Parts: sequence; C-alpha cells; structure tokens
Amino acid sequence: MKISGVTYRHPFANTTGGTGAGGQVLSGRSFQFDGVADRVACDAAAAANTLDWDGVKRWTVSCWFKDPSTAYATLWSMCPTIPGANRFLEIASYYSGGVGRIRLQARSSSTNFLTIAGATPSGGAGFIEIRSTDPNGIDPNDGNWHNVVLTVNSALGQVDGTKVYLNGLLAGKTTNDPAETNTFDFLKVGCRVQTNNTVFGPFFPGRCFRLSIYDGELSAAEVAAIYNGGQPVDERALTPAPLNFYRFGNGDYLFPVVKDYGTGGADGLAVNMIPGDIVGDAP
Amino acid sequence: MSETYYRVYPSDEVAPQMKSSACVSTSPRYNLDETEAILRFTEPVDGYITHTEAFELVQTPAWQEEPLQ
Repeated sequence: MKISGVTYRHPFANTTGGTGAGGQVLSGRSFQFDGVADRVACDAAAAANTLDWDGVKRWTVSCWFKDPSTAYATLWSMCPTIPGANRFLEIASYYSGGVGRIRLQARSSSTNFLTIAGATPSGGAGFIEIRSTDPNGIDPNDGNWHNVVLTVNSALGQVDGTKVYLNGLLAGKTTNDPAETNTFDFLKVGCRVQTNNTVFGPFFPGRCFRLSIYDGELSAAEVAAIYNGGQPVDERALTPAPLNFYRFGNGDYLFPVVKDYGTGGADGLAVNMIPGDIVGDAP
Repeated sequence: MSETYYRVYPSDEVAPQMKSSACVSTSPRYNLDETEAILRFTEPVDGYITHTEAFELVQTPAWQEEPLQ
C-alpha cells in the first residue's frame, strides 16, 4: 500500500517468530474477517484455469479456518464470468438445529448442479453436507482451528469424483453430474461470490490461516500430510507442492497484497480490510 | 481484529463518505435493493454502530438472501 509515495510496511514485518527460509514468517498469524464485507480476492488463481470443472481438470483446495459463529458463512468460493445467479462453488460452515455442519455447494445454475443426488454422508444434487455427528465430522465453532480440503476429479459422471476431508480425514463424497460443467474465473476467501463477480455474501466472521491450491486430485495420504495432526507444515515442502499458497499475514509485508507463496505467482488482495485484521492466532 | 466502526448510508452518500481518510471500505456492501450500503471506519463517526450490530444487521433479509436456496 502506498501512503504519500512511501511503501507501507506491515507492523509485523520485523518480527522473527516462526520464520523460515529467507526470514519469511510461516506461522503464528491469521486474517480476522469481519463477516460484514471483508474478503480476499484470489481471482488470478481462478483465472489460471487450474480450478475449472470441465470434465478434465483435477484439483484440490485446502483451507485452515476458525469460526466463532453459528451463522451460515462461506469460507471460500468461486464463480464464472457468466452473469446468471447461483453459478458458484463454495465451502461453508453453519449450524442448524444446534448441529454444526460443513457444506460443499457446487452449482452450474439455479436449477443445474455439478454433482448428483446421493452424497455421503448426506446432501443432494449439488451439495455435500457433513454434520458434526457424522463420522469424521467437526464442530466448526468449538474454538479450535480446522482444516477442510476439497478434492475434485471433474470427469463427467465420475463416481466419488468430489470429496471433502475434515481435519485430514475423508468425511464426505459424491458423484459428478454426467453433463454439467463450470469454468471458474473468480475466487474469494471470506464470502460467496456469484453473478460474474458482482454479488457477494454470506460473509465469514472468523479467521483464516491458509488457503492452498493444488494442480491435481490429492490422495487421502496427501491430504493427511497437509493436516499433519493439526500442526501445519510448510506445504511447499510436500509432494506435490501447492501451485498457489496463501498465508494470510504470515509474511504479507505489503498489505493489502496477499502474497502467493506457491509457484503460481497469483497474489491475492485483501478487500475492505486493514493491517489490524492480521491477528496473532494460528493452529 | 482492531476496533472499527460501521455506519449505514443511503446509496447516494456512499461515494463521498468513502473519501474520508478514516473509511476502510473500498468495495462497499449494499443491501439487496441497493438503496443503502454499510461502510467501515477506523474512527467513530456520527451514528456509528458496532461490529456486533453490523454483523447482526447483514444477517437480516434486507441484506442477505437465504443462503441455503
């Protein structure tokens, strides 16, 4: 950020805790989203076409989060450059009937869906729902950090082509629709995006530590390596390494730029946020 | 999160308010009929609401569609 022609340096820039190679801070901090309008735009990562649901691409997105709320909140989402509403994919957290839930929604329009009915453990056309009471389910607002990973093999009709892992364990899966596709061009962390990047919300009122994108459908063992028993590792040392790797305050010295520490070079941008939204909290 | 302040403005007042050095919002959130927007500030402004109040406000039907549609 430029202030009167001077490059702004984040106040944590000179701290040394949790440093890695090159003095870059790897851990200890996260972004606090306000649940009102805060978001991080990682559109360049989506525009690179890694994350398309086109019948061919395989990809994975991992996100570490902490959610203090019970309201429906989108952790991250994507949409295409098509003005029609309800063409989005998202991972969300919410409570209903006092039971915490993680939900994947994968839609190609208001009435068409990227996945078919019959999801495990529950769900319907276009969504997987995992309740805290399901095997490997989580209580999203239990005060702990959680890791949610979505793996996609977008082959049309692929059985179990879409899987959701929670804290390193397979918790939900479903089969792809035999015909529907979607080409995602916008990616937001902290809210749902749709209608050609013009409609936002619901927003996320919690904290995000990392978001990483892999060019490939990770195996269960590879997902478990990301979670690592709840102790995040430098994912760049994993095989495969992430194409895009956002660390939300850990090394982001040029706020509001959210640096991509992967090989993709697709920096994100914090929108409606201030440096004070970087907090000293991490898994 | 740093303490910040929120205020709802009619749409025609949003652009001038965003010029305030205390205004954080660069991409304001509007209600569903786009008659009002909520802005975030680093300092108290007349008629401000707290973060808790702002979060509760944007959960209402005027500001957010039913997310499980």
